[in-house]
Amino acid sequence: MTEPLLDVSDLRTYFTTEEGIVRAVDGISFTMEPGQRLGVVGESGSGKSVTALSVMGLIEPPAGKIVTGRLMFKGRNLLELDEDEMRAVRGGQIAMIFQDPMTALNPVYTIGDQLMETILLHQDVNRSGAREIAIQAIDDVQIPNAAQRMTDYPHQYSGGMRQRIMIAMGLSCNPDLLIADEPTTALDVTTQAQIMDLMLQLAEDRGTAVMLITHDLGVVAGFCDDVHVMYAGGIVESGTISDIYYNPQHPYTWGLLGSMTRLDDVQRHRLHSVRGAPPSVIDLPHGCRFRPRCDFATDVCGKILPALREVGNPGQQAACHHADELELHTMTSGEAGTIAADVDEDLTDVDLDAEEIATETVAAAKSAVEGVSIEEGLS
Amino acid sequence: MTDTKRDPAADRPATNKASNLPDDVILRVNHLVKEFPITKGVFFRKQVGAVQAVSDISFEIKKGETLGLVGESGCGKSTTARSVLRLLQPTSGDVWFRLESEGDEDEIVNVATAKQDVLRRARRDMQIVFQDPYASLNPRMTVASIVAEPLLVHGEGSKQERLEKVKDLLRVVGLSPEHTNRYPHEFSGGQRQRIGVARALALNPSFMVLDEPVSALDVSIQAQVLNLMADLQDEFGLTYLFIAHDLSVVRHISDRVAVMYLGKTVEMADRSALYDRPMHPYTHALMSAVPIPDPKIELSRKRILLEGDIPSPANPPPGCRFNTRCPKAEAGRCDVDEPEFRELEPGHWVACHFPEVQQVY
Amino acid sequence: MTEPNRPTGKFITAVEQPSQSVLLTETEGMAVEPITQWDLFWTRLRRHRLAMISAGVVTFLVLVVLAAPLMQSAGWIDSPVERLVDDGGRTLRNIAPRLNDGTINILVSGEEAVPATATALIFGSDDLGRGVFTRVIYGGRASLTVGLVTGMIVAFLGTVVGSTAGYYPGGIDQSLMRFTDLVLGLPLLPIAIVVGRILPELDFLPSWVTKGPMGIALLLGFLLWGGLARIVRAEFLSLREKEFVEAARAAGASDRRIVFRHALPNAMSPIIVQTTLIVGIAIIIEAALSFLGFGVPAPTPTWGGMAAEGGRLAVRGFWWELVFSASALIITVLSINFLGDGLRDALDPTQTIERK
Repeated sequence: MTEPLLDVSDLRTYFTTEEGIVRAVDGISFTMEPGQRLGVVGESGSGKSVTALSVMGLIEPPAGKIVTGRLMFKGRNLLELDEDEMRAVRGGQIAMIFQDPMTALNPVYTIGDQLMETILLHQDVNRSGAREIAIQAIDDVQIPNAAQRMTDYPHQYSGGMRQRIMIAMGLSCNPDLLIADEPTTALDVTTQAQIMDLMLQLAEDRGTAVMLITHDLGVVAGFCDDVHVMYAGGIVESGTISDIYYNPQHPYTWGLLGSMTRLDDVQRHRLHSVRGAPPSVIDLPHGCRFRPRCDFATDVCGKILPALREVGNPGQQAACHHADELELHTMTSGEAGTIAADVDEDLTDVDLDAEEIATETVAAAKSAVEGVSIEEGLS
Repeated sequence: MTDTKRDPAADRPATNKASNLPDDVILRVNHLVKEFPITKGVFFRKQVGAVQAVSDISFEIKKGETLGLVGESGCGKSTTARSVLRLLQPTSGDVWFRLESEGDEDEIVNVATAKQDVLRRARRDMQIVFQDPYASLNPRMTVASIVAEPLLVHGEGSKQERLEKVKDLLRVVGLSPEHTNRYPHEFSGGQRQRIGVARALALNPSFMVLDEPVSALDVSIQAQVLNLMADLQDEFGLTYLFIAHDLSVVRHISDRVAVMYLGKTVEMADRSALYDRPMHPYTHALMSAVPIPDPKIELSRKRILLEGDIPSPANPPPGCRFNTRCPKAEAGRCDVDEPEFRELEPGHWVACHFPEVQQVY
Repeated sequence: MTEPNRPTGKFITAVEQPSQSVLLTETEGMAVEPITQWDLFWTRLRRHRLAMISAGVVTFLVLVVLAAPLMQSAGWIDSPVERLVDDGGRTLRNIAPRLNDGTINILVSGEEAVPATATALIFGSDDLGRGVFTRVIYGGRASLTVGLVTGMIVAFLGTVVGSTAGYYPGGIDQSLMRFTDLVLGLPLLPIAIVVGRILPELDFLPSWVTKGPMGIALLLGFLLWGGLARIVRAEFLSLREKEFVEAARAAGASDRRIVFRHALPNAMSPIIVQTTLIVGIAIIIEAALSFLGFGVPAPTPTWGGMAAEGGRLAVRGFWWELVFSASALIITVLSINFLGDGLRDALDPTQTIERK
């Protein structure tokens, strides 16, 4: 096996706040191969964006600090580079696309100026050479009349076009790794489809490795080869997309999949939600961080933080004490479609006894109904 | 399906009773238009134009059902929601609402034109849950005073009774009744959204507008809130107008779905009809763009990718508003004639010159 | 399986799981004792050390200033010269005692010579033999009056005009804001100078306006509210679009309730900060006017007037009047601004507070 493109080991990024130390990323390790498309999935506060910023060397001191870890990129430890060397890597060999394309572009410079600035910084070309590369880059992201549009300002572009420009900027220097942090979250769904399609095409053509940071399991399903699921600063499960979607080993992954509404879901059913809310990253629970929300927690879960270990399919890893004792079933491919008949008529009596939460809510609802009638008696 | 008059664009009734609201219909929106003026000038503001955020839409909602209103940003769905509650004054059109009263005959009021006192009574029965659980709760009020506000405003009960009611409501939405004295910032997004739901429930409304109630929440929390909304609907017989941009969420919760584009409804049908047999090219594109969390399906799907971006509502294209991006648009027809919103199958309304059923996933 | 497309999960083998039968509602254990806004306010303010020190300083200043008449040698603050002029004796003007070295400790009040007490002279005396300490304290009366009265007028006018304009967009907003622009456009110093000059001669006005600091305070109040009005208007414009205001409207709340319960409390931070800034600015403007000789009419001492005189003396090496009056000015203005910061933070409910 060749040397991995990126080898992250035991990365810990902490932030000091007034309330205490935020362990945003707390000991994660993974590798990326050249050309690999990796999805990093998690909810807000899971540490997925901080992971990306750590790799980019964009953790702002003094609040944020990479406490330990090694970030080997093409054989060099990024954490040992000085600021000048890091700048050359950033934008040149590793590029990043942010969630909000408006704030990532400077409103007082033209699109062309901003693209050329990046190119001049990282490539050994003169201005006219940079101009040509920039026009080509705009053309590559399928914006018509590239040459004319060079002189436009960011506000003259729509949200989708701006994100295309960000991609053009990111790819203009042919990076080995593109980190896309929620690149389509701020966009409408039809625009999202355009952008993801474009990214897939460009990444495949150029063999660029992509780390896609997102909360949307749907976007990952059509784009990535492999997935890491993050929860409260750690990776709880990793594997290929089919491992994760069809054979999840970690109860959180399983809960997340069950929480999703699906376009092709013909039957209205109760969603299998994960109860509670993610823990505060300052005051993490002892042992397994998912324990307070987990349906399968036992005593050991409260004591020992489980490490990632191989379980399920070959190469699949999960951080759960009970992963191999659990049988977790998801809506697998095609299964949604096998419920041929639309069962609209049954919708009114949703199966309530299925979950404890349901009974709880209904009991509460009933007591409130009594409260309501008392109230009405008064008025 | 009943055989009552089902034309959603029924002619504007002349009088209250003539609104002709069938017994099972709780809300009928007729030719609703909402314009926002564009003004210029410093000293003398002159209106130089108008953005028609909602242009002539009509629909009705039956008692106990959920109508999903779906579309991308700028399509006018939130403006519609606020106009229905008259949080925004509609420019024209009617919003007939059934005020249920026990024993007596129900009163039908036109929310769009009602006087303040009638509006106040109507608002007891129609409530709203907002998108942003951070912006929708006053940060300087305790949970108790937030949830009790509708009760207080309508002079319900004594202070003690209101507090008891608040505790009940919190229990209903799955929060502990003990933390009435806390402030909104002490809660997570999902919990705040529950507080918002409790406030909306306080006056026992019959109808609720849910304006993107889950789109600001994390996936696992979304599911909790969606389940809660479904439970509440079953328990209290609520009628929902559910506004969302996410077609899969809408499919999950709605009985009927209307798709909006640039201020107009382009397609409206029962849920299964809309998702299984969508006819409008925009609906096709919208559905095909929604990712499905299932790699096998996702990798084998063919996307309909739209060209370009949504035109500005200040300057909508002539003819069919979708013609600039439509793969089926025909010059001379679609960019000239505005297609009529027609009932092509029972209960399935489409505004397109070339409607065609297409399977998109 | 009854519902094949529903996710299920179970242990393959029986595993002893701790009982989870009682599902907690989401926020169980978050119960707290009722805490009123005031409790929270005080708890937060107490944690703000700089604001607490400033509050102490301001309170101390106010008390001292209020207690000034209790001081024995009250007469010293008026120029002994003027009194003597009234009574015919002019020579005292030439004595010009400077008492910092403690050599001359006789002062004249009215017709009598009164021995100066040590306290009154700890800051020395000026060239007319008046105790600087006493005059700094009496000067505080004028300066604090100008600051606080101006602040109150500005807070009131700015909030009323700004909130009305922000809450009722359209014609009302337009006319109010044009009027605000007009007031903001008035040249402050020339107007203050002219008014300061003619004010003592306007006999038809009550004497509490023409004599002493009230006149200047009223004038500054009516000239300085424009900035706050703009800030409050902007705040209201954004607040009226906030969803919690819409929610209140949807619940049927009246405009009155929305303004006083929802909008105003959320606009308090900028109002407080801007008002405290104005208090400081008013004190400084008054000082500047007195410095230029157009401030509070003599013989009422003010910090600005004293600084002006002290400046002249300081050139000749007699530094104390300048230093003590200017220090009083700076300490007061800084304390009020710090206190404003503290108040703003204390009124912010999102400032975390430890619940026991």
